[in-house]
Amino acid sequence: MSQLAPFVVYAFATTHDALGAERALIAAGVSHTTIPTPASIGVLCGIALRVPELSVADAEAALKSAGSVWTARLEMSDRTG
Amino acid sequence: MRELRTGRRITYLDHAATSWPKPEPVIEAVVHAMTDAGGNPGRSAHVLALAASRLILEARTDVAALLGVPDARDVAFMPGCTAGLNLALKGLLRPGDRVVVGSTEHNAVSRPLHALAQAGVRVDVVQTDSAGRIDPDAVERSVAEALTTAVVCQHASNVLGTIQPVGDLADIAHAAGAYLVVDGAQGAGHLKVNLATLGADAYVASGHKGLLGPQGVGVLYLAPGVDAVELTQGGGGSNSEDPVQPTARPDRYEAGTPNTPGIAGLAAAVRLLMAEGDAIRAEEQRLVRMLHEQLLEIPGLRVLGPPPGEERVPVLSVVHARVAADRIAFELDAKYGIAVRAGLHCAPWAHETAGTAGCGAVRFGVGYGVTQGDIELAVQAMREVCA
Repeated sequence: MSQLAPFVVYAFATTHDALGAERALIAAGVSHTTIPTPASIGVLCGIALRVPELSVADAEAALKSAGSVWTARLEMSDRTG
Repeated sequence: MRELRTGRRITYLDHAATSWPKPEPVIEAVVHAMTDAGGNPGRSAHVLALAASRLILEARTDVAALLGVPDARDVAFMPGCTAGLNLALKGLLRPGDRVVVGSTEHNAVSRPLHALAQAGVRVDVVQTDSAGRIDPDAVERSVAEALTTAVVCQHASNVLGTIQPVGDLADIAHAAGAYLVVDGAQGAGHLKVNLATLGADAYVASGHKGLLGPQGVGVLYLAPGVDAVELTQGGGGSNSEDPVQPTARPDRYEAGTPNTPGIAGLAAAVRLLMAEGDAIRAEEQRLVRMLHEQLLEIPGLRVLGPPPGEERVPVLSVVHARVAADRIAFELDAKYGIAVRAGLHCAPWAHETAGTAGCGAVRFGVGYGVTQGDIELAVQAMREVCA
């Protein structure tokens, strides 16, 4: 039976900001995937960060600590199984 | 002295034109950017594009760190120093505005200003002394004469080697509500630059001279809040549906695919300078002092710019009473394998100031990798050519 795997996508104004945020997540050891920005999130930079729901709190703490500002945040899910 | 792959030996003293040879890590970084990071940065999220994007992020961060820029987004990569100066000048100045500028500027400044003057910008030149030193009091008086939009100066002269008092000029400009735009082509790398304290509202550096990177890349710093209008609109990987160029830095100033290999090479050079810059600069200064003192002993030879003991960047131009500059440069190359540059050095204003517009000069540019043996060879060759 399939299940929903929830995650959050963070999008940024520029590639510099997106990859700066990626660097912050790597430094903090937060699980994430760097992905093309989903069309549904709007017209931002083409690179976004996908964070599993369980890591969202850690991710947002790491981004805030690094001064990384996302310009869009979208909760999504994949069907798995 | 170094040996080319052709077997020819060369003593390279043309660092003011471009640094050579490039440090090995620079060449390796260029190759890496064209192979394992060969995607288009900022455009896609596949492995090659992300590698290129990360490379540029790291490069921008490192360039900002070297130049003392607190927020790396205030650093934009340009196709070169000339492109950056055009952006700073044409992006900040409008018809009816007024510019105060020194009399030793390179064509990368004087020609954009000439074009702006044709479009209605008033350009007032403050004469320096014959050594290229600008008098801050003279600049202050000129600024006080009329509403001024920008003071423009070079950090250091590419002909005379003179280092300008940028901090004083920043104070003068800002007291009048004007911008300070600095041509850092001969400053960055050869001088320790801290843009957090220097006072420049715009500072433009060449990537391939004192910064030791490849040709085809430059750096534009715009202080926070300095609203230069971009000269180029186009794709950048962000806000693709919007017909308007993004205003977020650095994307605003980087339309089109960047020179990723060049930026990668520049970043590798910058890392070298962060590790060894103080030692490199000290050696450059030692060698240019030695060259200066020994060239002064040659009869008939006049060294332009500040006298020995006064600070200068490692640039030294000379004229001889009898032997023409082009002849000296030709003989140094043909007989001794010494590479220098003769002529006006794209800086006719500086030669007017020095009194050498009619004859040009021979310029020695000292830089990374030059040895004491190179200087001794150059002095001996000059003695013989000028005998």
